[in-house]
Amino acid sequence: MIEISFTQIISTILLMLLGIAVGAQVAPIMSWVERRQCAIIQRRLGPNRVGFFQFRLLGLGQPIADAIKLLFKEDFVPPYVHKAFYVLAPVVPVATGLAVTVAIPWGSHVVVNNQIINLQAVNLNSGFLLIFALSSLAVYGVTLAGWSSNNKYSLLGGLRASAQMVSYEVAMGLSIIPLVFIWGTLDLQTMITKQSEILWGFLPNWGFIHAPISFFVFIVTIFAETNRLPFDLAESEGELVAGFLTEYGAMRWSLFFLGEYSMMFVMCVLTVSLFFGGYELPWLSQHYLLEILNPQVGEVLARWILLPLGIIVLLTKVILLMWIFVQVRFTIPRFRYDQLMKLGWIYLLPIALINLIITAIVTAIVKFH
Amino acid sequence: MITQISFLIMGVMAVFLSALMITRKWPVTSAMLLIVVMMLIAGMYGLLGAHFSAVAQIIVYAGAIMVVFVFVIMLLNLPPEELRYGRITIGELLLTALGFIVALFLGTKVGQGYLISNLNSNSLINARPPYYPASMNENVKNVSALMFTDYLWAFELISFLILVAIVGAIVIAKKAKVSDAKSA
Repeated sequence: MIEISFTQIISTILLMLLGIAVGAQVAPIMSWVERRQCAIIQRRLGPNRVGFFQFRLLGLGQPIADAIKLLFKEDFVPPYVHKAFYVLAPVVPVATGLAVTVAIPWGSHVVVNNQIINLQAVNLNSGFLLIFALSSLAVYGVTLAGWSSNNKYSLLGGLRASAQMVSYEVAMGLSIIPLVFIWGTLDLQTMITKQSEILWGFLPNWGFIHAPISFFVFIVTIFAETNRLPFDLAESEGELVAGFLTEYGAMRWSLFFLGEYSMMFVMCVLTVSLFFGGYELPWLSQHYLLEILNPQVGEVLARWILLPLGIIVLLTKVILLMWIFVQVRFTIPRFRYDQLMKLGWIYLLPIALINLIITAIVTAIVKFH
Repeated sequence: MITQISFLIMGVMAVFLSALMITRKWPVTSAMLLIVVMMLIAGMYGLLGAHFSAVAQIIVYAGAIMVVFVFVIMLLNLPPEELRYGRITIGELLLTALGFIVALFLGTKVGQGYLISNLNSNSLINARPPYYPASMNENVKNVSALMFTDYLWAFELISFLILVAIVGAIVIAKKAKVSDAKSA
């Protein structure tokens, strides 16, 4: 049995708190970003008034005002719901959405008290599969909310969510396996280190360049997995009132969004780590920077300098990807339900399967000859 | 020490929640309790160092199979009055007794194994370290190596069996539709 030192326990807890803190901040900031971006697309102004004292700051005070409003609204529970599950349902997405942030790789490692501290708080043997495991549980929040509301529209929303989840999870899993072939590991940090190399002398060795089809299938399934438009059939206010959210209000209602945005953030982190080199700068790998910094300041300090740099690089890539999420939301209309099922089973699944087979053959030829 | 205590807590909770699961009135409650039990079992796998089994347990059972279960339960949405059991027959009692005997037999076997390994100062829980350093990313590799060497035939036969089951399910579903069309 390997002893875990006090330093390691404390640093792991701090890393987990960092993930949870960032994950919880995504929802308020993204709500403002989405409303502003929507306004820009529709040639309106959007929320631009609420600021701090006399500074408007593009309306960045809006999320705080919204949060205060939601917290002080009456917490009304309709009399006909299944109370226990009605209360439990919003907790599920928040719990899974924030718990999954522990698997984010913030960087390689740092040295504290002569001990190596891995900058991925939870690094299991099975690598990034933990993110899949926790994200597959988030759907219970939606289904439970739909069922416990005791309302036909809500129930339909909940049922749609679970059917959609099961359908798209298959294509999602299959689209990722080619990357496991290419990198030969399930560990996100090893993958990111391999992606910091340079391909053919001028391209960053990103997963996107090796497996572009995987990327497109994966990004579509992420939209479905996080219930974002054009896949938000569970909510679908055009036909189901507000789907599973119909009977919810105040803070319980916003908890669903807190969980959803946190999960979206982690999924974007996973995409960036798998396909766009995670916390590594393209063409300027951390290994190279370490070699430059090492003679001047020593390895310990050099790694500490690289930590914020890596986090900034990771967050920049994630923000760009999430901005694409917002763009898609306000440009593509919602699918019909049969179109959704057709896309999942008739197009994405065979594409992912063929991609998997071809990648397996090519990887085998490249690796064994 | 922490590992053993949390393992025990998880085990006791799993047994307790399983007992709760089979005695609940609403099927949705039972399904939710079953999901929690699955996650507790996954946690126990994790503590034993079998991280891949733990994650696979959650992805496959809690994340996929139980979603379909919950889907069907909610689609039918039966109130508990329609799901009440009938009288318990003698055959069912005998089967229950048989189940208890098998459980007792298996339990004593596992207990014996645990005691023997404890006597050899090589206890079951200490047999594998519960914490691996990040560089040891071998879990998946070991599982797949076993699956494609020693257990290749069993693995292929099981996948064939599942294929047969899928085809069977489709055939049954189709037949019902044809007969419906004829009777209509």
